[in-house]
Amino acid sequence: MNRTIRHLSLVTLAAAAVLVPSAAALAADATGCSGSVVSMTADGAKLDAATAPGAGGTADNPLKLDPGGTVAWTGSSTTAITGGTWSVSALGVTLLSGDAANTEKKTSADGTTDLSTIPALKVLLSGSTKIPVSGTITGTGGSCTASGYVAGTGSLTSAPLFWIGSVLALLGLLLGVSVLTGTKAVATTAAVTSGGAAS
Amino acid sequence: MTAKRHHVRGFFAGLFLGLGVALLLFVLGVLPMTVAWLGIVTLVGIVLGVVLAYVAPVRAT
Repeated sequence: MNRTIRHLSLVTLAAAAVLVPSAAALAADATGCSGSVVSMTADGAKLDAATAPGAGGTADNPLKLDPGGTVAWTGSSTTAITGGTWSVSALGVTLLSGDAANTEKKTSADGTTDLSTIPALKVLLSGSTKIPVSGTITGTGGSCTASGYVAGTGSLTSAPLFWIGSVLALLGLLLGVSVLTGTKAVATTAAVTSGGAAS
Repeated sequence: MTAKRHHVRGFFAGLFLGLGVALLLFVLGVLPMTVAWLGIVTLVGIVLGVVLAYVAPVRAT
């Protein structure tokens, strides 16, 4: 498959997975492109699905992903985007990026992406964490921009962020207790002085 | 007599508690993991920690 079209479809994947923030609770949205995605577990069982524009991939109903699984996607752009670049990012971290030559000037594609090839997802999608994802492809002939939410499906105890959060919260509580127990009445210099003079 | 309070300790107590609670809320899927939510929850924790230091009951020495 044309590499550029694959990249376009990955952006469309993000479009299917996410929403424009202002419409996050309504439906998946995308500008300049459309598509759908079906997420599957590492065992190949269907996990979730979303379309953009359409249902799924919202903050209230994020697209569930198995970081070790795959996603089957279809996508299309309103115009053939050639000679550009593409990227998919989450929390300001670029997960995937590349050039988008698209010399064949295709406007649609489909395929499957192995999420296990994106190590950052294993950390970001631990537990039930839901994260905003955005994707863009820009080049000659147009552009495609999308954003929305995806969520993890792993167990809490397997999530590093769970343990980090627990330790930090416990440390904060202990410090809070020490603030309570450490607040004591002390004699001022004047009190000590007057006390000394009296004696 | 005056009260010896621990404002700096309260600040860090709130900071750690806020960060920890934010991470737990993220992992539990209660809040979307964004810098904005991380900042808000942490800031709330810091404010609570400092306020706690100011209002904590004074214990007799």
